[in-house]
Amino acid sequence: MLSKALVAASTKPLILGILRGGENYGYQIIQRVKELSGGSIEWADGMLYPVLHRLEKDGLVSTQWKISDENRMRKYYRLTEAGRAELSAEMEQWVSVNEVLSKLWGPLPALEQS
Amino acid sequence: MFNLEKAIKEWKKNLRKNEALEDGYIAELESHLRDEVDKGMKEGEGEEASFLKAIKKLGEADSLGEEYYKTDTTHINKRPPWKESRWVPVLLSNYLKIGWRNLKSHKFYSAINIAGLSIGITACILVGLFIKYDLSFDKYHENAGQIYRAYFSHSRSGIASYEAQSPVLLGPTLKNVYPEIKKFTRIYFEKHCLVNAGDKSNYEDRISYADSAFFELFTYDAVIGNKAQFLKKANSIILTESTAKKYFGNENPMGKEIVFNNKYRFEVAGVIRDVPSNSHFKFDFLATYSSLERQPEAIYFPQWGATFGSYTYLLVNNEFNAKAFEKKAERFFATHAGLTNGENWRVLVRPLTDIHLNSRLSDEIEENSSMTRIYVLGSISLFILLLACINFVNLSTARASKRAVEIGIRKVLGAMKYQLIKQFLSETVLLSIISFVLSMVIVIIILPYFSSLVGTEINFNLNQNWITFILMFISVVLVGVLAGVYPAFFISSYQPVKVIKMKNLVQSGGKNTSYLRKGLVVLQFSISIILIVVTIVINLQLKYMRGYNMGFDKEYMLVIPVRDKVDANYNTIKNELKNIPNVFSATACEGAPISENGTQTECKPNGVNNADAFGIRVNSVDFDYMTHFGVKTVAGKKLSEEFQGVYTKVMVINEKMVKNLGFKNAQDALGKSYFISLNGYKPEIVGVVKDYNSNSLHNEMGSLVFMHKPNWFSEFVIKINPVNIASTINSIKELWTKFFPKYPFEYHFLDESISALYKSEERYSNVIITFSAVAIFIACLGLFGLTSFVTEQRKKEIGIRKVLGASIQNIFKYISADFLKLVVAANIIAWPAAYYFMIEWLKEYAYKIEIEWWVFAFSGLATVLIALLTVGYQAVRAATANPVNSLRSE
Repeated sequence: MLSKALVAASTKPLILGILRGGENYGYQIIQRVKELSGGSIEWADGMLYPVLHRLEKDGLVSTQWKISDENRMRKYYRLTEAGRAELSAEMEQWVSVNEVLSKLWGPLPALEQS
Repeated sequence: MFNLEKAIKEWKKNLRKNEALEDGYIAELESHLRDEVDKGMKEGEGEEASFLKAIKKLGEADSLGEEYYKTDTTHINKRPPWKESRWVPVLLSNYLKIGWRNLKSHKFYSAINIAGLSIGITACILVGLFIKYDLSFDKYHENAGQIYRAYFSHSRSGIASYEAQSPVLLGPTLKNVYPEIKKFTRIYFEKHCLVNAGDKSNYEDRISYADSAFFELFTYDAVIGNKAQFLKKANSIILTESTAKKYFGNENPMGKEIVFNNKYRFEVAGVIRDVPSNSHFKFDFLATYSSLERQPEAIYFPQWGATFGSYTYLLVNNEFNAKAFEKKAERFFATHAGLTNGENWRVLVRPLTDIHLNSRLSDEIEENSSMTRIYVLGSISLFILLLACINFVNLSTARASKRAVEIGIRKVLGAMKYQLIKQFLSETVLLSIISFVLSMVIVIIILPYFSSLVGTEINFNLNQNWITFILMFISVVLVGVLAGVYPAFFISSYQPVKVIKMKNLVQSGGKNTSYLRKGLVVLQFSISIILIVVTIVINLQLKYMRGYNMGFDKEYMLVIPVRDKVDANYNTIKNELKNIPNVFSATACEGAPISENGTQTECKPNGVNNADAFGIRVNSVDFDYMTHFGVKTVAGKKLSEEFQGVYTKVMVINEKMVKNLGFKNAQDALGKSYFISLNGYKPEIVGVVKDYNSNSLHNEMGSLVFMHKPNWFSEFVIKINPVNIASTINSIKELWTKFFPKYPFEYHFLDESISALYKSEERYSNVIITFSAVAIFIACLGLFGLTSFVTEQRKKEIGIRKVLGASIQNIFKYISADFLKLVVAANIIAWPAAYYFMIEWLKEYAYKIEIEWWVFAFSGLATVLIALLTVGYQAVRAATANPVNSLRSE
């Protein structure tokens, strides 16, 4: 299990990364994260939305309510220019951290099947 | 049956309870929830199971709310309000600071609120002090609980009359007969006496005589001398501190001599502290009761038949029960006084502490208060406070809804409901504290004027009253809290968006509030109307009494007392008087009408041994008395020289006495003789004169007996010319000094003494006028504040009306109409109440006015006018405002 701090730090880049692939709504984003992490990252569902709200406030994403075919109201998020810039910045940071750690520990051993 | 929609609705409702979860967030969460439920159902779980799982995954409302709250940058490092500690006393100064800032930003309304509330509190404090004072009479005596005044009643044909004065023999006999009576004292009050002491000579009015047990009943601290020895030595006298100083300066007065009326010597045996003002009897000199035996002019008759002159007080044991005693002593007079028909006499006892408040007999020592008076004053002051509080609440509520926009914005910025409530409360509590402080200051400044207005000495000693002070402070804060709670809860529950959009929340959201507010205005004005009516009626009654034709001439009557016996010389003096220019006529007598001279005694129409009797006043007069005062003789003759030699065998009576004797016509009474308890007289009726009022109009007319005994003359009454009064008086003074060199000249005017009878009414009426003015002022203050608020609310509406062509008069009428309806309603409520109060009050007077309809009409009209003026100012301003200005701001 990931530490709390790590989960917290990774939410922003994760979300921005997912949105790079196109606009998406909250529920889908959560499922995607679960998929990508193979289940090791499990966010409490409700915690996502305040973060999305914060991103919107900071101007990194823009939102739009859409009605689906089944008459369901969903709030869709997409990256703004500032969001893209932020995403690049995050990517740089994570890559540089990864490089340092790689140099320190050597190539990361493959995970045992657990 | 599980209903998904219903369950979701419930869940959303629960979420809304957290202030941080706005509608938008909840919508998004709902969408997530539905997706989750769909997924669950696709995986084969039931609807309900999926739902429960989904809401669990989403989390608690409060934790969600907290996360949202944290995303708000202005709340960095702060805990959400629902997690904050509720009440931190340390933050008190913080709340007060906030409150103060808010007050300053609405100076106008704050000022009105503070003014109104301070006045209300001041009124209450002042009246409270007075009531406390009035209730404290005589309570300072150590034995106060065991002291009773013994008095009696006697019935005649079923009607009982009561006397506060009692027979001289009553005290000692009661003590001998009933073991529960430990001690007694009689007290006699000398009315007016020349006192020579040291090298000073003055007329004094506060002279008393008492038995030696006096100081065992009543507590007075001795300044000089041993209290246990006071009044034990014959013909000794005790002085109060200031009297001692007055006559003997700083010398020790012990053993010095004091002379009364140039005749009676006393030796000073002690000095006590001055008698406090909250005593139902007061004195400057206290002499031994036994000394009365050597003073023939004193009303001292140690026989059972003579029931007047002194007051009897008893010290009783702890088991004493007043009612039981009165029952036990039912046959006291019959048994011990040796009077037939003594069964009609009853011994009664009244507790000392009750006298000032409840005893209103015709022969009280001093004018007493009454519980009615206390209730009336207390009610008035509570009314005034009520008015002020009503204004307070009214105005605060009105203001609060005006600030709806401000509230909405605050909420959007993150203020939570609880914060808003705290803010409101801190404002109103601060307001009330400020008002309290202000009113304390006002009380301290006004107290001396108020004391003289009410005729007492009241001081407000903070040290003695600090408990009261703290109680007052707490109640004031309570008023602030109560006043703030209502608008606070009402306003802080507004939804921000709704509030900002719908600024006219007053109109729609508050049908109930506007009824409440209207009701409050009506109440205020009802109270004001009642007070106006009360003021008018009291003044009318006063005027009526002052101007009442009492049946004798009282204009420019100079009354000059004589101390020495004039006896047959009176004629000489009279003749010389008549020679003085500007003297129209003169008469010598025992007492002018309403004078207290004369002998209060009784007539026994059925014989001396039959206790059946009624009270009479015997006045010794010269032959010109009746003509001098313009009193007509309706039957028989006047007293004249015709009766020389048999003066003690004839009397002239008044019509009232004729009735009391049972005769229909005055003629029928002529020639009959009746025993009067005075020196064993049984004079024959030779004449009947028309009734006149011989005492205050509080009381019914009395039976009067006139005899000719120059030996008893103690007054000359002179009718003088209104012109050149000063020189006339001077000439009279010279004449007097010639005849009575040993007595300083003094005089007074009869009509002044008559006016003085109603001094207490006058004072009472002044107090009520003042309070009425205050109450009306507060009502207007409230109305003013309210009007200005409502007018401002409807600024736009008025602007539009103007644009559409309404004239200034139309607008004026439009605005005033609402309020005038309220004032009319107030009248309808007030009139019956006022009528009832006044009828009750007038019951105290034997001679009273009829309450006429115009009093009510006038009061109603006056309040309407006042309301119009108050509202009018605002209305005119609104009506003449430029519509462009009012419609411009958005």
